[in-house]
Amino acid sequence: MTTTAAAPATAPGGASAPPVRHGVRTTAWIVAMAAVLAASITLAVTIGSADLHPLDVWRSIGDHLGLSSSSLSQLRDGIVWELRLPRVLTAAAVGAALAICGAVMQTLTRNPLADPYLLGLSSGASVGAVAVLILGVGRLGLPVAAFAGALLALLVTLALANRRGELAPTRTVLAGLAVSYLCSAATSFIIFWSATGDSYREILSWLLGSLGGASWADAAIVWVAVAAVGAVLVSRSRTLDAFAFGDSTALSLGIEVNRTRWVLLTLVALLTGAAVAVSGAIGFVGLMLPHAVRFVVGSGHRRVLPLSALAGASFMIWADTLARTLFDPRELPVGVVTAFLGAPAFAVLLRRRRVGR
Amino acid sequence: MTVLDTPVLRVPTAASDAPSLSVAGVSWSADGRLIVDGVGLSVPPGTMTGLLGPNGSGKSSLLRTVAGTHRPDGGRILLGGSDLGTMRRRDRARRVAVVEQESTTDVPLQVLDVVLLGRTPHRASASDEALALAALETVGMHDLADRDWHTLSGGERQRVHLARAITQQPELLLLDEPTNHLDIHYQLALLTHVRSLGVTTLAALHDLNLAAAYCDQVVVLAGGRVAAAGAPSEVLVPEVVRTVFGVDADIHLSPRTGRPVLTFSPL
Repeated sequence: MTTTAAAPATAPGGASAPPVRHGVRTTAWIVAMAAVLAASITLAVTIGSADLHPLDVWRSIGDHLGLSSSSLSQLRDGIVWELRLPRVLTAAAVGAALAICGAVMQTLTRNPLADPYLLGLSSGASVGAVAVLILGVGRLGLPVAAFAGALLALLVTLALANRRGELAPTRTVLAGLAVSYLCSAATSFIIFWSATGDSYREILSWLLGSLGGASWADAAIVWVAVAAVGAVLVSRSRTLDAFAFGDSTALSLGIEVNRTRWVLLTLVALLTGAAVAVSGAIGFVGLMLPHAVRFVVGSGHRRVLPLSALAGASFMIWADTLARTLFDPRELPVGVVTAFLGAPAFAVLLRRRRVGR
Repeated sequence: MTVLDTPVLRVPTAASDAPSLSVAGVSWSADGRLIVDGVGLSVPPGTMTGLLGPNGSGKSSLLRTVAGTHRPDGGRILLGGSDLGTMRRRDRARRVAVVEQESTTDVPLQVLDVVLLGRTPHRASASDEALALAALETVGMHDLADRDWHTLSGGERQRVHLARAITQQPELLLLDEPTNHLDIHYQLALLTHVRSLGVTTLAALHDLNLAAAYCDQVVVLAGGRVAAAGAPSEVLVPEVVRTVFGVDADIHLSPRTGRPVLTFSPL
């Protein structure tokens, strides 16, 4: 170190080859995952007691959309169009909704363990849904009440977890567990107190999730919610990205941190409410899928949100297909399937990441 | 890796159109305790001012107040004549960039992703990536653009944060102890990079010798108030060091740079 002033260290060395970026790869992934989803829908509809060909599925769809007139028998058409397709499409939308919710919650709470189920939103939504069910409010009241329940659960969880403006990950999960248990107990209590018939079955379907009896109306509710809320969330991708290094960095990047967090978490509660209203509380989908997606394509939300939605949709279709066929004719609550797959993933996350504090 | 220069002052390159920062009567309190107590200081255009003071003297709090993380209880913060306090957060972020100490993340990110965060307050543009790569070049990390954040050393992370701040194209750069936990090479390299930008800079620093070597002027805080301010050679004198830090110091002049060098006596 004998020289005094050398040439400026900043001399740009010309444009050397830029590193490989995500753009092309992401498009390829989205196309691939969309194809997987289309294939999953088609195949899952054919699986079951009646012997259906994948082409039958598309014939039936074509007939009902007025695009074709095939000679599909009324029975087969009925199985596809009335029974299986609404259920499969509802499963897809619920999976997409939960995966989007998980991805956004993980970002906004800076907690890799966040998802609508673990933080109590799903159980809160269940309470809301069950409460209006026994009051006999119509179909549209159900998602609204589920949304209200999810929002309330979110508020309580964050209030319990909040300590001087900080949301410590472990504290948040513990608060979520407390809220979740309370809401599950409330759901069970309401059903047990009000139901006349097979209340245990109904309790199970709300606590562990079930897509049995999903109708076109159910599919429509969740698809509309996924499309609308998902579009808003994807449009806020850059904002979500800015949360990566915490609140004060986000602030210094020009994000109105508190307002953004509340607006986006309210949207998450809305989407959770729509999903839970038709399927009950299904765990681990929102936790696992976003992590798997980030592992593959990195963490930019413009990539993570659409891919999580697509992956969540396909995942949920297969989880539900397993749930209804494994012990045919008896049905397993779909949450049992997702928990069997999800709990190990949760354990891996706990071990691998520095989650505690 | 760049071969390091001796810490001599370079003439800032972009001083002409840089604005000045002026902080007047700024206070901030937490839990009813006054942490920053009516601080006034100014940073001339394109120069670097060091914020010094013992632990708990309010350096970080003042910096966060200027950054907008804390809302001041009173006082005004002007950048080139416009009031930062009344500015929308996004407009403010287009003019002020912040590098915090050891800010890290759990999410899997590549270096270029992190640097591109600097474009958040700006309208997305096709030239963003070129800007980010140029900023990485400035801090000597161009080759690491596609490395995973989690594989970087502390010094590399801090330089990536600086590149992110540069990509934000700020008129004012705020650094909160940017050299903390860096080895001596990275300490000097980081401050050399900052100096070479010619951006108006306010930096909280622990190391008095680093401040003496790199800053155009220093402001010493004690108990949330300004205890002394001015050129390093005027402010870093034995009396001030003894009063504020409670240690005895001898001041020499570096034969190479003419800047003050402090040596401390055991307590």
